[in-house]
Amino acid sequence: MSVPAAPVADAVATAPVTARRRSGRWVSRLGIGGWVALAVVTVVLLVAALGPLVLSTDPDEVNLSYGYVGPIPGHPLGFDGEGRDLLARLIHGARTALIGPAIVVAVSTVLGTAIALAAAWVGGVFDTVVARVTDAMFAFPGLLLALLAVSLFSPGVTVAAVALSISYTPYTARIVRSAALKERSLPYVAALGVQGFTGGRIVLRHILPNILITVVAVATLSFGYALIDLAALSFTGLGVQPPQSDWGVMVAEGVNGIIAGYPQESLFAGGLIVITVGAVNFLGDRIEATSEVPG
Amino acid sequence: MTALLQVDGLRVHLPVEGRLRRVLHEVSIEVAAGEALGIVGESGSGKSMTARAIGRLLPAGARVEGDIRFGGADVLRLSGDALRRYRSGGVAMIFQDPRAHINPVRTVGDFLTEGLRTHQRLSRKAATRIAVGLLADVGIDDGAHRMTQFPHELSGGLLQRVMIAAALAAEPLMLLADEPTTALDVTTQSEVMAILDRLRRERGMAMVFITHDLELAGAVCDRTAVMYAGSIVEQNASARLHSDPLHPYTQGLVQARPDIASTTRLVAIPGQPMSAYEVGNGCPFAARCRYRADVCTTQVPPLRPWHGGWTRCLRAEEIADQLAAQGANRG
Amino acid sequence: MNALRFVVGRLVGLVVTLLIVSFLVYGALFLAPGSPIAYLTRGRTTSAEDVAAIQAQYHLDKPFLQQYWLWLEGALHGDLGRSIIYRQDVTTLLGERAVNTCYLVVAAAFVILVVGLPLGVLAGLRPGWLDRGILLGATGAMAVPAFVAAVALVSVFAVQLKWFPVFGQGQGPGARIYHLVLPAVALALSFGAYVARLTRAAVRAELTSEHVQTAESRGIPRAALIRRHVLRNASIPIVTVSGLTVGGLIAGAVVVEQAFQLNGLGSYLIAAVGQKDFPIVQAITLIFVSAFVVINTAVDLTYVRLDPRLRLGANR
Repeated sequence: MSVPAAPVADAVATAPVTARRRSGRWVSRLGIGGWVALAVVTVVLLVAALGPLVLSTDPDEVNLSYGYVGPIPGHPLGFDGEGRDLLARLIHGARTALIGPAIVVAVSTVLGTAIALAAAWVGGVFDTVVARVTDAMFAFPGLLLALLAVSLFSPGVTVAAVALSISYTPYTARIVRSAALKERSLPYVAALGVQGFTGGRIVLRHILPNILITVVAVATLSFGYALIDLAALSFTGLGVQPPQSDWGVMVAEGVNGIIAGYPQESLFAGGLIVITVGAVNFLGDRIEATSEVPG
Repeated sequence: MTALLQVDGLRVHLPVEGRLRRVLHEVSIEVAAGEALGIVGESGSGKSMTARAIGRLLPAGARVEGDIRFGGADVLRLSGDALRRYRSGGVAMIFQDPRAHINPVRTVGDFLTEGLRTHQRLSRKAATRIAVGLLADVGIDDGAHRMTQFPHELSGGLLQRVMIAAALAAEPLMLLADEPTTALDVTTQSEVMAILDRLRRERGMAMVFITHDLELAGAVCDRTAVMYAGSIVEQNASARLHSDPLHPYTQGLVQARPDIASTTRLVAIPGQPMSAYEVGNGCPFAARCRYRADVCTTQVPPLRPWHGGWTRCLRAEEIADQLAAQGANRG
Repeated sequence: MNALRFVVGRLVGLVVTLLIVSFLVYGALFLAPGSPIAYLTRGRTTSAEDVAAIQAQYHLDKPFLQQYWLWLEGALHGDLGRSIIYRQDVTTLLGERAVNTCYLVVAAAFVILVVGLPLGVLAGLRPGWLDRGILLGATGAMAVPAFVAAVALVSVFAVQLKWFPVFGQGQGPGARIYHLVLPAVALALSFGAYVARLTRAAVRAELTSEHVQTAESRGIPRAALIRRHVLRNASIPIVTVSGLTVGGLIAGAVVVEQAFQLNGLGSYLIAAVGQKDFPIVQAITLIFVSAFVVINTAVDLTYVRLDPRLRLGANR
């Protein structure tokens, strides 16, 4: 027979009978690395949003006599093959490089989360079907779908973004569904049900806020993947169309420069992609880590 | 007569959230060959840590000080072949949750024969024969069939018997049983306990038996040590623990045990069990002790012999009557 | 026997998925704006005979489901239609290119297995500065998309150091391998890093697991312990993850082929999209997606072979 260690009252107080929220402390659990990553991402977003307004240099102004010229006063990064200012192109390119992924993430996260929550709550055949489909489509290469879409309609970011949104939804749905199922199995959900709250209310006001960290983590990671996929598409010439500046386009255009011995365009644009995706991935990792209950 | 196992002044610190924290403080116990010692305590008392220290299974980063001697050898300094021999023929550990402690992707037979094939270099056939015999010893008759099954196909009780059989396979001198029945349901508990007890006595093995159940320790062990917050607070013959507690904590444990005949309210020990690094100066139990006096918070009491056993209570003599009168509080 | 039922079930699932996929790929044609004929002939001057030929090829006069069935039947017999641009059988056009793409993907997989996996195991088994270095490197490498890696590798190793050729695939086995080095590394980089990280996490988790403690407590020598308990158990999540990287490898191959001007299915797909040669787009998409589904199913079956808990449908 066991030894009751503490009065019964203590045991009752620690059981989660009421709905709970995990908040506040996660800020400190991001860690230094997480905050640095967040800062980097914020800077990139700010530059993309405000840079073109602040910068006066025209990214599209061609001046062939300046082709591949290095840094000179007023043009700190030099020029590309057609004499266009690199810094201006990179800053303007940030917009197209980031807006696409933002749309993809917004749509796929909302759709995926909605489907996941519905499946986790309703259960039954619907849930089984959702589980099967999301399992099969989980790692499906979005780029293929984007290519198919582009071939049906026309090259461009919009078409690709829609296709990617569709292909990322199962990825989001699978992860969110698994988190929602875990949350749903907790005692407080049953308690709320017994108290007479409707399913919709329980899901939206209790389950969703408690798995929000997971949703944010998935969205952050999806942003990185979408950025890569869209930039890759632009690289092949089927996404953002030249002469518009976009990091993916610039990597492709810069290949001629590399062969001629001027790698700046490709490497700067590629470097920005790597830094942004790296920071986003790291941030997503850290956010996900904050949802782990300390042992 | 030198004891088989001698633990002297064992102090262990573990890294917790980046800092070293004390979990065991001056633990000293002795176990003679063939003798069974129970270690009783709540969570955080350090009882599991003691067993792990003896078995050389502390997590990386642990700081261990003190002395552990097994058959004269310095356990803490063993390495290489000597360490392997200690683990395969000296002590054998039985863990609490068999499902977590047996590799789920290998067969039961693989688990049972692994030690035999590795250390005694027996052939698979020979090892299998021995294993089937061991399974019969623990009450599993269709051993040959069970050997081909995977752990998830067996119930918790069966799995724990398999664990016991595996421990016996090495023919150890001493068993380290870390709450072997806690994870099982009550009926299975008594079955498994009976098997363990019988086999141990039959084979004359010593045992250190970790549990939170005072009565259980009393049933299978000759002597029992009671631990609290990383220290041993009492050691006594098991039979006398109930009738003659030498420490207020033990008294508290005994009184808190529900008795089917009793109709009075349970007397619980106020407060929460603490780990070694959470207690302040002085006696570790002082904060929760009903006999607390000023002297209890100023000095750490030593473990001293008294009244046929050992106690860490400074006021043991003063409160002797109240300790002995615990029977009056119950039904 | 339950294992057999599981395998059969999985194979049936595979066939069903392939049917669904082929249906979607075929039906995608009808999503395009305008009528199928208008879409297939857009941007080109076509004679009445061409239009009639296309009509016949796509059976556009017949009901939709029958069209699909006829197309599928043809596909299974190796007839994927004719390219609109080149007026040749799609199968002929794809044949050699498919082989090239296979070489690339296999080479990349080889790099991942030979570099990524061992690094992950090493990092998992030996915590310390080596482990931290590998983790940092892998995290960084994961952020490098295949096309950026391709361009960077070309810049450093082909143009500056001149150790490797820049474009093309070379003739003869030796030259082909030589030409495949940079593309394979570019493709393998981010996925290899992902596999390394995951392997490290899996090995670490197993190393500290309770069943490994049991083996330790029995004095099992470290080498045997790592082989029979740590790696054996860690192989389960590792195999699962491998399935996930297949999709990425396919997408990456498309871009890498383009970057290195390798004559494979990927670069051809991009060209066909640009030229609006839909039968090619359809066929290559079908091949890629089918490969994805087949490989994932194979991974699933391997996974079940490794983890006995799944075979009998027991609770885990």
